[in-house]
Amino acid sequence: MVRYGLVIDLAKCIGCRSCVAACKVENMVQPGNYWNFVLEYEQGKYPSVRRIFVPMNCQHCENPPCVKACPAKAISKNEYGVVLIDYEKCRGYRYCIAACPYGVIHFIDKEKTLYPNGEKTPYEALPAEARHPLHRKKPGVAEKCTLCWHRIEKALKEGKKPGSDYDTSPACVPVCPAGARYFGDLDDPSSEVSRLIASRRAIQLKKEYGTRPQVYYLV
Amino acid sequence: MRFKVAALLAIAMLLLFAACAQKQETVVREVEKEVPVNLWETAEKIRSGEIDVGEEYGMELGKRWHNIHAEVLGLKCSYCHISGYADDFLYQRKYKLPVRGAPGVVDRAICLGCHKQDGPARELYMNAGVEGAVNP
Amino acid sequence: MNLSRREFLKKSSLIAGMAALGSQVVSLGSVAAEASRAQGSVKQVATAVSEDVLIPSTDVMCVNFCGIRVRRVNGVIRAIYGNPASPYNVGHLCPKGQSGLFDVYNPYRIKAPLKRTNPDKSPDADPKWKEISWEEAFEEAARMIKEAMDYDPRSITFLWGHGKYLVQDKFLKAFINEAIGSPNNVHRTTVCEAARHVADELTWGGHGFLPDLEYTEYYLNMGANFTEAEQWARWLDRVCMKRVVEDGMKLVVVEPRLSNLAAKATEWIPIKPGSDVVFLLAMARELIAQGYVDEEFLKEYTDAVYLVGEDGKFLRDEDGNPLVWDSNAQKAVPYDEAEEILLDGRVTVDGKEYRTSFRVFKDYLFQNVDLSEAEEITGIPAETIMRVAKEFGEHARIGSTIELEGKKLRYRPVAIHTFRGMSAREYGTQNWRAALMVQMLVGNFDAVGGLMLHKANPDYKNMKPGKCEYPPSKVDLSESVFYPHGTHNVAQQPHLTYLEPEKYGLPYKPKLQIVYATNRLFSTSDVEKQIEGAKKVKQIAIDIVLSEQTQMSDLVLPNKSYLECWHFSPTRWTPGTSHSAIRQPIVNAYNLPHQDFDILMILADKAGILDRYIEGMHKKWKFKKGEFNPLRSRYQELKAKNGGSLAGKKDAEELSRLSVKILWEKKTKKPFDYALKHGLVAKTVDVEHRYLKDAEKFRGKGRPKMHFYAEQLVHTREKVLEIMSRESRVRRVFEEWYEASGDELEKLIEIKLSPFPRKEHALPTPHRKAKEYPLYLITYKRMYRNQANPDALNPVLNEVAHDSSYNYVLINPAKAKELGIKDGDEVWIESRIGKVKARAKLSEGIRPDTVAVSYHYGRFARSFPEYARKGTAINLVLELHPDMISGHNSFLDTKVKVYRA
Repeated sequence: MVRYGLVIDLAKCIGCRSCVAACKVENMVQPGNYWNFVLEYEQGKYPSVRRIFVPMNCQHCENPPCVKACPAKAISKNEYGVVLIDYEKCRGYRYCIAACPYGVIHFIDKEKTLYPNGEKTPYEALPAEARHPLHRKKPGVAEKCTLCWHRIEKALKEGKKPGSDYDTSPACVPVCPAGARYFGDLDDPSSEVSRLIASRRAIQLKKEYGTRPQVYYLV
Repeated sequence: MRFKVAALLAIAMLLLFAACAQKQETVVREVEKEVPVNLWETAEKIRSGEIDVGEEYGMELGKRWHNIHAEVLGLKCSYCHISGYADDFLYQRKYKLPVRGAPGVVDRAICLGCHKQDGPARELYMNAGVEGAVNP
Repeated sequence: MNLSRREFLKKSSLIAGMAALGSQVVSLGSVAAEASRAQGSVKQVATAVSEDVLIPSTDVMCVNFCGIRVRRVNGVIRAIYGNPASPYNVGHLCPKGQSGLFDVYNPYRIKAPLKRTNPDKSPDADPKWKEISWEEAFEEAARMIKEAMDYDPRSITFLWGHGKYLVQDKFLKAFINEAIGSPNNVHRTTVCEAARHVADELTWGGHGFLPDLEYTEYYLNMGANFTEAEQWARWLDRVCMKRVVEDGMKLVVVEPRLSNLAAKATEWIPIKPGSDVVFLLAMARELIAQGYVDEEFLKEYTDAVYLVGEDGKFLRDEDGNPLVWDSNAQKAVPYDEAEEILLDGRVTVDGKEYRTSFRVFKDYLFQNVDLSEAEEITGIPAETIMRVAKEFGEHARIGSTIELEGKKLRYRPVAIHTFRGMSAREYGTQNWRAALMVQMLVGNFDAVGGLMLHKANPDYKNMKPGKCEYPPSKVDLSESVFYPHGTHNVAQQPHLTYLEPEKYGLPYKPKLQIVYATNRLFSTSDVEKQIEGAKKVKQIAIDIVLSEQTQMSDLVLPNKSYLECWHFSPTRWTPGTSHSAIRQPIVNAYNLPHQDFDILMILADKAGILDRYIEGMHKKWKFKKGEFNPLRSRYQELKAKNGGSLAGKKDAEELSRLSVKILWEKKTKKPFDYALKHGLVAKTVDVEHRYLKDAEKFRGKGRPKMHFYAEQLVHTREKVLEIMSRESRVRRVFEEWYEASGDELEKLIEIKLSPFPRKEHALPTPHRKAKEYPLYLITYKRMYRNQANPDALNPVLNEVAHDSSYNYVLINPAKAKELGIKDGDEVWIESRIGKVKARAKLSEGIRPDTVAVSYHYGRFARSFPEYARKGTAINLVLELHPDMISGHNSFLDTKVKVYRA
């Protein structure tokens, strides 16, 4: 089996939001919505204080509550372990949003332009035919991180190993200025992600939900 | 942003109270009662259709979601909705404005009670039998 | 309408305050109308999938020049990816770099040449732009230039900031210095790190070092926040985080605010603003006391061994050679003749007492710097200072060597780094000099893991006494008596000089300024005065949006954006690599005919100075073989083809392309097709070039010495005091800047131009004078803005974080409680020159005696919509007390009070 996932090194993360920008542009994410976001908080009191940055995207759970919660059966986990929303099936019930303990699913309520003047930039005006189906969103559907499935899919079609270079990795990974993000096959013990999980202290968020996330954080 | 959140929150709460007031006869009594002792039975009745929770899926008041949680189970708004998250709460939508009409954000841990494995409600979360991970 | 300072501040802060509350001060409708007046046509998008390509180019959303690959789908920029082939950023890219397409597809861009019809240049006055043709615009600009040249070519100033990184500044200098014949080219380094550069030049005759991070083991970072935004950020952050997390490098960050870098540090040491120099002097004292001194380095490479007399000057022989003490011969001899050189001692020569310069510094430290006082001044416990000094000394491994590529090299894996943190201060130069002295003590210059020098030049002018020109020859007063070692253009000065040229003794009257991709009005302090100064001259702007500076123009020429241009791009070296790169057009979103390079060529032609411009290019690029001559012949051919004028003609693009081709082929010896296909070509730097080319210029006999003791400042001081004694105007300027007069002023100037850093350098003017303002105010950069460019309009940067569209004032919760301020409250920040409104953000990551505001929010350009104006323009309340040595702007010295609004 192949089970793609991410490893995020929180010791390295500098909180720059590069992964957020990469995701926004690559996936034409609706203004105000996020497929990826960096949370930040302080720990301790001056002068013994730390600032923690935690990038959060869909955890591509092995046991995804959103899949079970969706009355329209619009969400599925594919054979590579990637959880995807089918915009054609999605009816906008938002049960997935309520069920996800990570808060990574967003609803597209209406069409919004990037600039508040209401005019689309040529980027936004790219027609559906010039977009990957995962980027053909419409009002009334939910959206979330696809682990850049369009890139994985393209790599597979071209006979390349996903994650083997810049263009076969999720957009948020190779841009990271601190080199804090890793993508790969969690089921392959020799992959970099598996080795990092084995060699460093790796945690999954909110394990009490039994979601078994495929995103690991090195601390 | 914080100002906006507060303002919207206030408006949202007013709207909700207004909505509740309109349905006073049916709703208020429900809200005041205790959570049903036999959740299993209630859940089963919802599944079998014995308790009618409506056909329409959706989060808005009057649709299935709130029909089940607020009306049938009689959960008070504040049972799920809290005024805000702690600074270190790891929830990606943390800074999003609460959706239209909601009296604040939802404390996610509340869902676990019923939607766990072998719980009374539809299973969403497997019992992994582990302690909640501490924040990084 | 002229706004008084008070009115202006009130207005600006009102805008900031109301924006923070989400009110619309400027209606979107009126902004849209203003933008649409100059509306061009956005290209129509094809519906079929006809294209999906990656085109290599070079980023310039900031000064890191990352390699990028622009993805174009159906003629539209779809995304910007990093270029993994770049040795500098290896594919990594920050949010700015990735969102650059929205600087291109920005509806607020200038789409046609604009002529001002309202002479009132107040910030809130409608310029009443009139769209004019390109022909008319070029004719008008040429007329303005010729008219000013007829009066005096020096009356023209060319200001650029970011422009240097678009078209390289050699072209810009050729235009202003050679074609026009004015000395007034002004870049913007005194808003960044100019003082650091000058300190380096005073010490080793070059500037632009890097820590050798790939080998460093103990890295002391004092005010360089490359995890947020800074030069060399994409190399520094990658290597630093790898070294810290994977290799266990100690990263110690000394700064008042817990920056993103400090958040990743092994240790954060919150220091009182301005006192770095005392921390470093205390460290130096401890290093010497503990014996962590690389005596061999000091003797072999530096003037620490020169004998200094009571007058602070070196003892010299009749030929002017500085003398050292030969312990064998027991006499003072030139360095080259000495056998056993004394480093630390006091000797008598001809009945007079002399000390080695090392001893002078050491005596100063042991007599004047004690740890308990250092604790009081820096706010850092004495034991922490002692421990850091010890750790630094231990990690320096003095005396050790390492073998790399078969070469035995000095190994000192410790480095200190700064950028704006130590530079942007009244004593910026002396602050960084202190860090250089600590590093010379352990001998880490060009040692493996130490501080990599770059293009050291023992003959550089700053290695000698300053010229101290009076009257000044340039409007920025650089290298004049006011800024005797200001070799990096004093960015904030030109507008102040325009305002009162007589005050500074300028022998001519400024008439015209050309501004190109820069925004001095927003990026320097004392903004109201800057605006008044800008009103005094005519202005031609070349820009992509109507910024605060550009809206002051009489004439505006729209530029293409960086993804629409041809440029031979500047690049950033790393200790192990270098590369050449180009920028090539990906799209032309608004169908503009011209970019910067061809604008300048057409302008030169219309002003009758094209031949001089092309000769100037040869001179500035040091090209001997007429390499740029094809530009002239092609220009004439294209001009003839286009009916005698290239104004508004797209054929002009060919000239820009040709200039890039000429430079690429000359610099890389590779065909231009290679550049188009790959965007860049990289080289690795061998060990010889990495470690043995710069510091080695000073090693041993027969070579000059780097300046442990900056004796040239003693000579500069003499000149300054002499000029000040006879020129009352000079004295008055200093009196105003430093709020001192008479003996106090003279004493202050003596301290300012001290040959080594002193503890008084921790006390800038506001710290001495603004007693009733209890809090230190520091400013910093966030990742989501460049200093003053169109980023504020960029929709991705505005929502890349929940709080990236506005700024706030960071206040420690304990202090906030004392002041009755809660998180999110609106507060006033008041300095001696004005007050602004800001939103409070409580954070444990800031000293209780300090507040911090990032300085690139609160835009007030008329054409900017409400969403781009959010936040506080903190520069409005910053006092200006420039660093006398370098001219650096004092961004970090102001004191304030903060109270609830």
